[in-house]
Amino acid sequence: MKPAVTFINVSRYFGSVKAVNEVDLAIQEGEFFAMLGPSGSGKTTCLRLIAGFERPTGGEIKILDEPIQDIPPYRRNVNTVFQDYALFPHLSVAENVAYALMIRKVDKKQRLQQAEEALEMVRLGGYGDRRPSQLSGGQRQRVALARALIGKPAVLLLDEPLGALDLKLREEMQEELKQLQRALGITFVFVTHDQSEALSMADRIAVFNEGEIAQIGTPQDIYHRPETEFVANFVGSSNVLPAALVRQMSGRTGIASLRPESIRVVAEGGHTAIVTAKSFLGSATRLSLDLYGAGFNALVDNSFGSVEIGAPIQIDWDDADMHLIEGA
Amino acid sequence: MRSDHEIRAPMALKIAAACGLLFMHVPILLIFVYAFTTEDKTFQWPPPGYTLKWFAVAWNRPDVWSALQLSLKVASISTIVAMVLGTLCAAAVSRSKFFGREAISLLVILPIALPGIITGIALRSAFNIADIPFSVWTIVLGHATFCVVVVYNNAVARFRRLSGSLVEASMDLGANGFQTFRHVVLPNIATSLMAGGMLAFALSFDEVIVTTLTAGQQATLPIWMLEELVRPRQRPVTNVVAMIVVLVTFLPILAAYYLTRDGDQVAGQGK
Amino acid sequence: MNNSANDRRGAVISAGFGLAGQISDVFWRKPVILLLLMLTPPLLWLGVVYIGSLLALLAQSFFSIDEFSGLINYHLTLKTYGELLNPANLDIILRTVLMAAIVTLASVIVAFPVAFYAARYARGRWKALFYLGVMLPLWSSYLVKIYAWKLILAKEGILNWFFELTHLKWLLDAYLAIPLIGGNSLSVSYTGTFLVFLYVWLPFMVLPMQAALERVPANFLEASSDLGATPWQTFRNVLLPLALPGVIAGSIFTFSLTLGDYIIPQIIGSSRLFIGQAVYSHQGTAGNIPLAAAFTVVPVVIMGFYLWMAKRKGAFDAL
Repeated sequence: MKPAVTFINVSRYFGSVKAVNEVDLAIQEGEFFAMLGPSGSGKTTCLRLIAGFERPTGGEIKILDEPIQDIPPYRRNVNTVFQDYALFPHLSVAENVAYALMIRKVDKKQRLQQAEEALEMVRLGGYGDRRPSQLSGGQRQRVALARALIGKPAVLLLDEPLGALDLKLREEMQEELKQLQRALGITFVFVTHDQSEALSMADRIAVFNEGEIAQIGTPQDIYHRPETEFVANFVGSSNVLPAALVRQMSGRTGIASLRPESIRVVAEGGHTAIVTAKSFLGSATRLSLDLYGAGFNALVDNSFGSVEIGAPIQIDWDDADMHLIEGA
Repeated sequence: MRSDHEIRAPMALKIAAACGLLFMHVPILLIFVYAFTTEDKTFQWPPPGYTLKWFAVAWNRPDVWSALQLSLKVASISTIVAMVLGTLCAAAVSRSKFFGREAISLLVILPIALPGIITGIALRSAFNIADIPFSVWTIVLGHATFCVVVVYNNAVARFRRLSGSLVEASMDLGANGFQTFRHVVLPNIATSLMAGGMLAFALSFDEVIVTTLTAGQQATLPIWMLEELVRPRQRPVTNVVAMIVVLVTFLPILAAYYLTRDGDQVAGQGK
Repeated sequence: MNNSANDRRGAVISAGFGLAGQISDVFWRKPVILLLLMLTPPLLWLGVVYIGSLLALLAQSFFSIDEFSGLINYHLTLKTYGELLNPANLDIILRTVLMAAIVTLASVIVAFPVAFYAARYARGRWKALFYLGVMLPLWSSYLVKIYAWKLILAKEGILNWFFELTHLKWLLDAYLAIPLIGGNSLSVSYTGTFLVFLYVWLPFMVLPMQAALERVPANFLEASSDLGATPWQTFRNVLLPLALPGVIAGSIFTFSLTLGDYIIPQIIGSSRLFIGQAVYSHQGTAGNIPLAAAFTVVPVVIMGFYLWMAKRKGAFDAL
């Protein structure tokens, strides 16, 4: 099966700034692929390279194995849902959605009918006559989605699509997007800085840092087996065990990452740590600990909330949860 | 703490403001009155009588008509040229970053920033050197030079408010550059363009400072009026023409205002 | 919306679009071409012709005119600039600068209440009315405005009639008897010229002032009075400094426009010349382009200096 999107040694430099630096990537057809990273890490630039709004300084970009770096965006079978939705203010919702068809010279009756079908697919049936300015943020986002999908693109790109929505709406949309993607089978590539979003929606994630990909893998891979300190810290919060401690405990070289929820409070036989702070999070309690001079966070059951600050407690964890980051 | 003086203006201020406004408007309104006077040799006040006959006289004066025609012709051509050039320039300056962008913004504003007489004699000597005879076209060239500014200002302000992602979205959905311009860019800048065009028309229609230096034997309406001011023939006819000029330029200004008033820059403020 | 594999297209759509598409492709691949295409026509005209003729004019000021033959002597010299220092010419320059200064000062005083009221107190419909109330005179015909004052200042016109009606004719006569600013009648006196200049340029002063005043947040004034300042103190210490950039911006207009004008003094005023008239007459039948050019440099230099001072005070934010 041809990969939907391929990056071969792709770079995009802006003068001396290396926004994207020699990135290799292969996104499979039908995947829900996430590009995750902090701002300025290059993930948005990569998305724009796929769409055609930027041209690579070096390397090759292919869609369905066809090289496209010299092809303008309007000739690429790729559509984008923009962060600010970019709905045309002078057109109605239906005309917005039907835009791609209008450009392809589909006749008016037919394209408006298809637009209505597309709107129904995103649960906005009947909204065709309204103007974008009359819609809420969540509704506009759905219109943008319908508009991008109506042309049946090979790849759908989404640029931080849920950023402007409030929490409840965001979680709703995450579910809907996932269902939509499964139903349509179209390759989705979406960019986000929210790691929990990436973890919950994506089939695979590429973690970006300073223009390069730090790690690509499934959400489980990324979370439990981070390959660099950056990934360990960026994806979920993590404790990074310094090399000395790791060598002391297991004799191996390198640092290790340990998720706070892997730490258990035990009655005896564990490591002695001093409680330096505690926070009640609702579903759990976070304890800040001092373990052999290193700062640790542990996520424990609320029953341990009565622990005193400054008091010692015994903690332990499974060796399997301590993931070694070799030569980080 | 006198909280009332935040909501209500002090009476002195109101009176001063009203006087200022009146000062700006009354003189022109006086012309309207004079257009109906029966006295034709002097500017006697109060007018000895009222009549409509001067309108008929003005209507029958061939020099008034030819001056009016020329003014309309020049204004139309200058406006079209200014709209094309001004929009091109505004699009380039506001959409891309390039070396010398600031310099170009300054350059475009220069014709209006410098006193008219400098623009006038500079162009005049340029035409002399290039051996171009003075004609309608030299007038048009002079007018187009500063009409570009008016269109440019309006267009730049509008382009800046046009979200860049709209153009990208259009291209993303399959529209090439030309289709994007036609379906997305043009509809969104249309009102600003029209406003700029109307102001350019009014500016050209009224222009006299540069025109006297770039015209040959041709007389636009302002040149005709200048002649009348210096060597009056029939004063009431001049009054009638003056009144008509005010009314004619009133309309495009009003239209331009309504077209752009929900934008953040009202058309005409960049004069 | 189904997505059967047969109606999903390939990665690239190469067909369609025609010539427009091909040109678009070129623009996308080499955006510089589009930029050049968009900028060349306007720049060619403005940059080459306009700037070129301005520079040619400047160059002319360094030539001189042969007094006997009346032909231009194309040797570089400062003699023409020297001529500017003749008493007659200096007179012209001083007269113009003085008038520009007085007009500017008067504009500030008259415009301020209008701008202030419009910025701080006008709401809703009134605000729109004020905008139009300033826009319309701004864009009204320049000549018509001058003509209006010719009517008003005429011996038989409304102003004289008003003075006679209120039995204040003696006041007017006494004023006209004052040397320098008086004259035979208002329409041939400097006062007349001053009034017309003030009238014509006033809207140019109101707009920047209003823009600057609108930018002063209302709570600055409230804070000032909250801290115990009288309205006058608030005005002097808070409002005035913040409005100053607008005042300066407006003064740039009134000063510059007065310096270069040649029509208003010709129609309303004494026969003594202003800079604009001097330029006009020298470049006319006399053909003394070098002197005309030298005269035009004067307002440019003055304004250049003025603008430089204004930039330091941040006036350009109000434009």
